[in-house]
Amino acid sequence: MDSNAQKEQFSRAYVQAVASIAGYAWSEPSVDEDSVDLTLAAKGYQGSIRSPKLDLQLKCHADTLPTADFSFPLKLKNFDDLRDEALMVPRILVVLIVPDDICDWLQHSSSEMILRRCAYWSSIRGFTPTNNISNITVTINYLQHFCPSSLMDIRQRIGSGGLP
Amino acid sequence: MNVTIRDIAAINSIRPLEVTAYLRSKGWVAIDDQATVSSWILKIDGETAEANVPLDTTLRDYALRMSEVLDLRSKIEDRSQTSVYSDLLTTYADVIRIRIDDADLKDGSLPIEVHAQIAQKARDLVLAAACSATEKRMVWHKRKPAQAIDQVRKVRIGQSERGSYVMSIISRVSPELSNPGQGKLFETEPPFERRVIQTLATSLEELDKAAAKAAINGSMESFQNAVAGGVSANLCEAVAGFWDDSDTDRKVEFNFSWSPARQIEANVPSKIRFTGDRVILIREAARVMKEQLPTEDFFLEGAVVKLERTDVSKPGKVTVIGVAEGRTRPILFELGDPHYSRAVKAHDQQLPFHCIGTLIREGRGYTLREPREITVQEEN
Repeated sequence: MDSNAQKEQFSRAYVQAVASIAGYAWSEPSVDEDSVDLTLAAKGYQGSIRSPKLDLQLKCHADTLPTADFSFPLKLKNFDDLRDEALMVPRILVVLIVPDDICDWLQHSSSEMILRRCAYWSSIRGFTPTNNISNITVTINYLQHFCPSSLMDIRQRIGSGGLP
Repeated sequence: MNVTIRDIAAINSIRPLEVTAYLRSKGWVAIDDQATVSSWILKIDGETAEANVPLDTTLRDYALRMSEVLDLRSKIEDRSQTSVYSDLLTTYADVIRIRIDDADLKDGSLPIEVHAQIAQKARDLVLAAACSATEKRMVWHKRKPAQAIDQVRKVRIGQSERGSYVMSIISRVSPELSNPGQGKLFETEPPFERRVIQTLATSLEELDKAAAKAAINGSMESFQNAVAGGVSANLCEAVAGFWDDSDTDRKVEFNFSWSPARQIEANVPSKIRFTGDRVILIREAARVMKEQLPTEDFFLEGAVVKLERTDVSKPGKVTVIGVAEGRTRPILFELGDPHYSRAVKAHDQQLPFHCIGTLIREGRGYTLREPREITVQEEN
């Protein structure tokens, strides 16, 4: 398996672990939709929306731990799909940062399993279109972690009819 | 076989209001309607399933959301997505499945030439029914009612299905509106598109019965009586066209699935099956009906445009441009002496030509049999 495929699988596993804790079920799109990798659904939620859903686009990037907001390049197609406001289910971008060496991505012992570095989420809904031809760089808030508590907060907001 | 539909274009062709109508017909209950989404629930075995139907086809995630509805229904109904998909596309449609049962077609494939022939006959079948839905006639010639032609244009062919060879014809029908407590909102006759398919079903049944009677008494009478039920020479030709001369073992079955969005009258058949032994009678009925144009004592008036006589001892062929069935057409007949010379005179001097005879349609043209009372205008 090449390193890109490994990163893709690892990011899915990461998100699925976080979603499980936050009480979401996950599913992969059953149509050929290249800007949504996973859909999370919170069944039985008692907000104004009974079963809030969230579409995720996953990216995985090997880097040092960010200590400030960082730039991340996106293909124009992905950017346009994420910034579109005409969506029934909101979408976010999830960027997982992993160490350079794959051996450092995960550490396992009988008492714990550690996934190194962290994932960050960003909503670029409503961003203005760009004249770029193929890519655009977006800025990711390094404090906006994709973790169980942030995902539960997101569920609260979209369950009340708001945005992530 | 459980096939997942991944093609976005295919999913995009599902229309939201047809999905909601289908959900309603399957017992789902609407719980919330917003501008872009309609939410439905169904209680099954103590659990509640929820379907969120996107209402705006311009949503960027329309296909993704609709595929979730399709997937959910497929799981709940324990059916393949392709089967559910097919139903969703035809909620507002009457579907006719023409099943051709033939030993040569058991693998579900069809020779390309036969396919072309069957597709043409399927069109002719719908057109014949559409014409009969406007007026019952024994024969419809080239000039068909505009309403019938328009309706045929709206009819579509679905994907072929397994089961010998099955061709599906899809005719969209507008849904019936009801007013709770007061029955139907408007007590009117069904829309034309429904009447066409209903006429097709009843006329096929009439045709089958007429052929069965004709096989016993050897008379055309049963076919003539069936004209009031929508049978025409055109319908006979279309049905007979599903066989060729050697296909007498073939069976053809017409199955009608009526749209759940509109009630169908109880006496309309949903299944008619023709066996190969009917075909020879139906084909002959078509031929005889076409020759039975009500044109005895037809008065022909017009200009002689063509003369042909190679042997003066035999009658010559005369073509007159005259009006038949409301249109100007060339009408051919034979004249012997001395009448042929009158036709020559009318032609050479461009004089109006009159005669009376029996007008018959032969192939694509018209022929006048037993011409008499022949006059040229100047002679009066």
